[in-house]
Amino acid sequence: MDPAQIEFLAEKESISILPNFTEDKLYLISGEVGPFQPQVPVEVPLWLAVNLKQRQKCRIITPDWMDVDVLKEKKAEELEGHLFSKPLHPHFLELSTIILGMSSEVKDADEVRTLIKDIWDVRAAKLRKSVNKMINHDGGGGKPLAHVEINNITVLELNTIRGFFTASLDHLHNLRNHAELCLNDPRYN
Amino acid sequence: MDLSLDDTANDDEYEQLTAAQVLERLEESWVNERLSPYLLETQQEVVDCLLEQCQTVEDNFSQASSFAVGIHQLEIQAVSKNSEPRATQRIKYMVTDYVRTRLKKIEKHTEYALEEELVKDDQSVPHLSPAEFVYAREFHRNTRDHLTEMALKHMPSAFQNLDKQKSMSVPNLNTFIFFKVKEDVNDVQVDPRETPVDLSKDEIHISKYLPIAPLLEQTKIKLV
Repeated sequence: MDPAQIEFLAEKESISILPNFTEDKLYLISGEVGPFQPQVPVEVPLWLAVNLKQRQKCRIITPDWMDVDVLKEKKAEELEGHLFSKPLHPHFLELSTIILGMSSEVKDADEVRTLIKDIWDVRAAKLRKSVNKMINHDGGGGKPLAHVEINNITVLELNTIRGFFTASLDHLHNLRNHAELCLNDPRYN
Repeated sequence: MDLSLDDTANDDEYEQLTAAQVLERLEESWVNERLSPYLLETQQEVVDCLLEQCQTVEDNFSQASSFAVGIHQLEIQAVSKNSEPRATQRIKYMVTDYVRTRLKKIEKHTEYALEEELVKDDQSVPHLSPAEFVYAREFHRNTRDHLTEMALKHMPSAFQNLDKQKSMSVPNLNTFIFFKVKEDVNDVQVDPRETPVDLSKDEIHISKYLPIAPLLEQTKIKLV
């Protein structure tokens, strides 16, 4: 998928805003939002928050996990284990990029940005390592790997390896299947 | 906001879905369609239902405040000047991209799709919607005519035959895909040479497309 399409999917995640206007409840196709009252927090989908913010009709409340202490803790946890830890949010990179780009009210914005980048890098390194492992995997007797379970990975991360990884596995399978055929063929022995 | 969704393939099966659930369904089908190597079952009724819903909302604009209209348009489709058009056409963008993705697959595997449809009996659910079937047939005829006119006609008569089996573009159903489990399923044979595995909710797996395709059609898993 196109990374922009994953961002599109992330935009339906809900986030809290502080509106500065009064408006009744809206019945959108994706669900109800509102009612809007000045300075009363309300949950809206991110795409709506972005639009209202652009029109200076609201302030975005920074999500709890976009906090220096929470992120530091997460980074430490991520550095500890070999496996992926549960991400702070299934779309953490997309959400934080959009929010940091929009809102100047995020506390310690630069540090938050750096920490999120660090977490992403640690996870990316783990991902590369496991891809390498999976591709070189030998299930005994040259049997190619057919099924792997991989948890706590975000859609955006999967997308970064998709094309290359699935294509490599396809090729490996083809080659190994051919090798097997040749081994069993008396003409080659 | 209730609307009924009549499943055309199964008249006795009557589903009651809210608009939000229909939207969710489309989103899932869209992602699945983007990531699967070959066409999935058509979700034409979801598309129709959603477009109808958009129309209803748009028809009621005259009664709504301008603020509400702005937001509704933003959800459905609207061209606002201060932001990217992509971000402002959520539902219609998704519908168009869903349809476009399917058409691309049809154009790529035209003959395969038509053959598949022909071998199916009346009981099974077609992969193509009636409109897509007509499109596939037209596209196939036009391509064949074009190839014949431009090249085949000018070849020696021995080479003028277009072998359907050889020229057909067959999708690689053995390609690897990532999927997320939506409902627990036990004893799934992901590889004929391996022992069956149990899939539990929210797990993400990598496997070949073909063995898990039935689970995808039953919406027990989704592609990611």
